[in-house]
Amino acid sequence: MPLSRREFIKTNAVAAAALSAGVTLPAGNKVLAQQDPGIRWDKASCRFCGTGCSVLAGVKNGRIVATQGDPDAPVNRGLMCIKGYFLTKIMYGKDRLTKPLLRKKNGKYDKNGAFEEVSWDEAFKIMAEKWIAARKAKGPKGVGMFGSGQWTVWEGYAAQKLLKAGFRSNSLEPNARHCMASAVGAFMRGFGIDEPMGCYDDLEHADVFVLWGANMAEMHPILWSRLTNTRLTKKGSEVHVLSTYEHRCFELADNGMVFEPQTDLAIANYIANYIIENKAYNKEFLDKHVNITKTATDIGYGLRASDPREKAAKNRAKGKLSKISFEDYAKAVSKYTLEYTSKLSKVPAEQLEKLAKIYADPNKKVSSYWTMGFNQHTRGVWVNGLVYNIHLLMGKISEPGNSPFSLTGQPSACGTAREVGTFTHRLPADLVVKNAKHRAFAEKIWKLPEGTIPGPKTDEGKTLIHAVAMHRALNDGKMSCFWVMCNNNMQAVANMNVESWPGWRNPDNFIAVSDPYPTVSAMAADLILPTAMWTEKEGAYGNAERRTQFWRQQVKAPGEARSDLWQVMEFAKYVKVEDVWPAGLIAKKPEYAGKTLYDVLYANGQVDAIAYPGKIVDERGNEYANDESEYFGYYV
Amino acid sequence: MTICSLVVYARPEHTKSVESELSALEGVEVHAASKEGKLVISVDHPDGANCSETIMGLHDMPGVINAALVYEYYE
Repeated sequence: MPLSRREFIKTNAVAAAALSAGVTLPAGNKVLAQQDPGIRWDKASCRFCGTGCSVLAGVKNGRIVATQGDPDAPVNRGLMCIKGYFLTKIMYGKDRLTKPLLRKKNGKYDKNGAFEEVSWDEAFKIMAEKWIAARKAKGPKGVGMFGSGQWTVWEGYAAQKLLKAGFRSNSLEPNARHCMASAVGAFMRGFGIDEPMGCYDDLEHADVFVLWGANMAEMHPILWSRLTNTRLTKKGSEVHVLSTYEHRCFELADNGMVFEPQTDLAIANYIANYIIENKAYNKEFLDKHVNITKTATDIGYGLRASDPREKAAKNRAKGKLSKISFEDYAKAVSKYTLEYTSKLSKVPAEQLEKLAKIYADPNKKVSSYWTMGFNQHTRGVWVNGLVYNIHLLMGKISEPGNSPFSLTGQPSACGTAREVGTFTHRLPADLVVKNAKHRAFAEKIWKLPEGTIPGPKTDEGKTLIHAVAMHRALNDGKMSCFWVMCNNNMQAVANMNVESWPGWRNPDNFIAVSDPYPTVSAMAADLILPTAMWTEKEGAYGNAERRTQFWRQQVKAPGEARSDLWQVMEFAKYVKVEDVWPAGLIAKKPEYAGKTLYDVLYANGQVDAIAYPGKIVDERGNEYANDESEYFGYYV
Repeated sequence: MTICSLVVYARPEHTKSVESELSALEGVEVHAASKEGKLVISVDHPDGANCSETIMGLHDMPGVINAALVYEYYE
């Protein structure tokens, strides 16, 4: 019996779901689900969250028409969450931007003009003029770029080279500064290296799950599915949830605790105290692997120095770690008794004790999960650290099932922002700007003259400027050029009215926003650059468990929209080395004289070393485009 | 046209009630149900917004622990 098209699609859909669920369909439905011959399937990492599910994207007639949870994916094993529903739709909104737009009056750039369509050439010409002038007049902090944990790995890398090497500026920050930075701070202070030591397999290995202010049911649904499955099928499994309000995860919780905001700090210290008082700690592990340090309290809130809350802080912005003994530490946490903590947090004592007991039980494998409840916390770095303390006291770390795990929100905050190091103070691979040896290492790899990357005690002086400070600098006139890519900063930023909006609209400032749609950020800019999305370009994302997943370009971007990678590389053609580098620096590599930043950073015999055969072919013989490689003439 | 398939996870003791509640939803068909509480459903409704609302609403249905999308077609 021939199926209607609708029935055919539905049959395929249902067969896929049954396969993923491991459920047998009743005999009547077991029609051979054949592949629609018109659809080309290829795998891609999901555009949306830090879980990093793999989806199969189905392309027909140059459009993504279908998505399917990738049954072979280790992360999601054939499932998607509601966000997967929107993958086929996000690229096809009616108001997709297709041409660069510049504010103009009487045919010339005017910050108070209306947006007019311009060519890429005109867009980059005015932008280069502004950037070169700002860099010259105001130094490294005169220009700035605000990137994203949704950038692909190589978009972040290209941007990092453009800013730190090309413009000799450390003014590069990702939107992840407003979220994962606390987790990063705690990793670096606790372990000297960034990113979790566990992986998603802990969701099956663990006995007990503790959610510290993370709403996994709604924010990481696929991980929640795996956790739920373990809870419902493993004997002795428990779920503890801590939050400042009841959310959907409480439905599965054996111990759901609503606590007074900020008292998670006290609760974590209470658990440490409980472990110490009951002598449950793993002494061998502590002796072998753990140092204990303390840091100053009453450090202010990172506000402007003029704010009364900053003036009142005894140890404003102090963070130095000093070693203390185990006995000092035990004494410090001893004040967090059950009675004190229960009163402070308003969590009933028996619930707190139930939580402490499972951490203190050496036979219970515990995985702790957190996201923004910790990272956008007023004391985010501290609260991250306090939960690491619990796991370190018990030696419940770096082994299957025992895992303090910082979940990331964005699809590539780990892969791009953190591993590539697109932060003011970082370089790739956890290297840091302040370390001269690290800068020298990067300069060597990037074939740069010694001293290109600005750092402390170099000719450029103090160059570090984080995301919050960038908006203040725009507002104060210290930064004049700003390029926002792959995030909606004006929509999401804190203190927008006081700092960001006036900063962007400061008449001296030139704001460029790369965006696929006319978002609030695009509307607030002076130049809008139409941007390619997701599988309109080749890409790779690194998820929360540090799994890097690649995808091929599947479809073309509309109109003149181009990927962030193309934009960064192409813009580099409009700036000569002489426009930014002092003569003394160029003299160290005289072959760079007269060259553009593009020549030095990208077409440098290294990045452009791989030939592009005109198309990409997969192991099944399907052909794909790669527009950046096509344009630049080499595999990028 | 939007057609989706999903796996709905119900508390095992609620499988039957979840199955009947799902079947009553416009555009929703239940194709299979296991005794562990896993149900295979399709959502086929001409209105795309209705589809996403329906899928979101699954999470709030009593007895439903989770709902995962598997296949989604949009034309």
